[in-house]
Amino acid sequence: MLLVLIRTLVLYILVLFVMRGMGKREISQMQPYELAISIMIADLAATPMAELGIPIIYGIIPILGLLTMHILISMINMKSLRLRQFICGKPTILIYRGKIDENALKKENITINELQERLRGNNVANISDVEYAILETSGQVTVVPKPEKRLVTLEDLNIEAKYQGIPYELVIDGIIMDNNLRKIGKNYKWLKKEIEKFGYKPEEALLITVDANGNIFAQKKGVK
Amino acid sequence: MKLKRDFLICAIIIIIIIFLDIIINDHFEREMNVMQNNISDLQELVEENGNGKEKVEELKKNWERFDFIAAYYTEHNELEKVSLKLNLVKKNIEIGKNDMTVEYLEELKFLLNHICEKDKLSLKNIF
Repeated sequence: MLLVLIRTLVLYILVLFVMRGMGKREISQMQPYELAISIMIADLAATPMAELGIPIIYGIIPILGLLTMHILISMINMKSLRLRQFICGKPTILIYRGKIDENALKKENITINELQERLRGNNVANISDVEYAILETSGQVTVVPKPEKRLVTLEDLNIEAKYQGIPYELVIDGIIMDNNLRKIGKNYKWLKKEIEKFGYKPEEALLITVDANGNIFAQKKGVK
Repeated sequence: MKLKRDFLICAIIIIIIIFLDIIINDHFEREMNVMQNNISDLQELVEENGNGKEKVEELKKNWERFDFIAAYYTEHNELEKVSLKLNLVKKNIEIGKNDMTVEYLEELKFLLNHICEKDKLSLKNIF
């Protein structure tokens, strides 16, 4: 029993390390070769985990082999456009200038119903609103609406936007984020002074953030 | 920079696997030669109706040393088959059943060869 647990821990740590090395994409965003490798890794890890008669190295070596292949294919993808198109495929335009491309749908085995489903998934209920619909290599559909159906932007209204930047987290769960403090050119002394205005110390905060305009959001731990 | 790092990771993994393979195969061959010699000597001794007790002990000792390390990289059931046959050889020598001993020694030879051959880098094993 303990043996199985130890083997599971070893393989879990290895798979975690390998998946981390493979990047941060979600399953739905994976390229075909990435999905194949992920499925194979899960299967390879499971067998020596439960089968005590199989040396653990029979799981470790193939997983490392797959990681190597993944890194190599990713490197090739970065360097060669032709191989990238061969390995990952090319995006397919399903709707071109407002017209459905039947041949493209047949080629990708997508029915009209599926296309409509995908468009609805992109918050487009009416197919006549679509200028372009592109089936990406990851399998997702990107929709470009017709100009008159696009959302109004500040640029359309000739309004100049004020720079907002991103808010920096200065305290998370009572832990001071020294790096972020340095990035905004402040120090602990300043933070303490600002937070004391809320009636507590930075260490007592659940979350403290500051945006580009200097607005501070602070919430104390344990407040209901 | 990232490409260089990735290339380095790939190279390290491949080198480690090749290095391990060479060490393991070398260990396999060395130990197998010793044991095959042990078995041949024992077989001759048994066929001439000699006392094989000492030889079988030597073979068992060599096997146990090999088995301890081989368990890291060979399927355990293959090793168990050899251990079982070895015990049968030992028992048959003890009770003097030489004809059965020769049969088991042949099986033992085959099993050891099989273990040695099945992990060798060859087209037959790849496909």
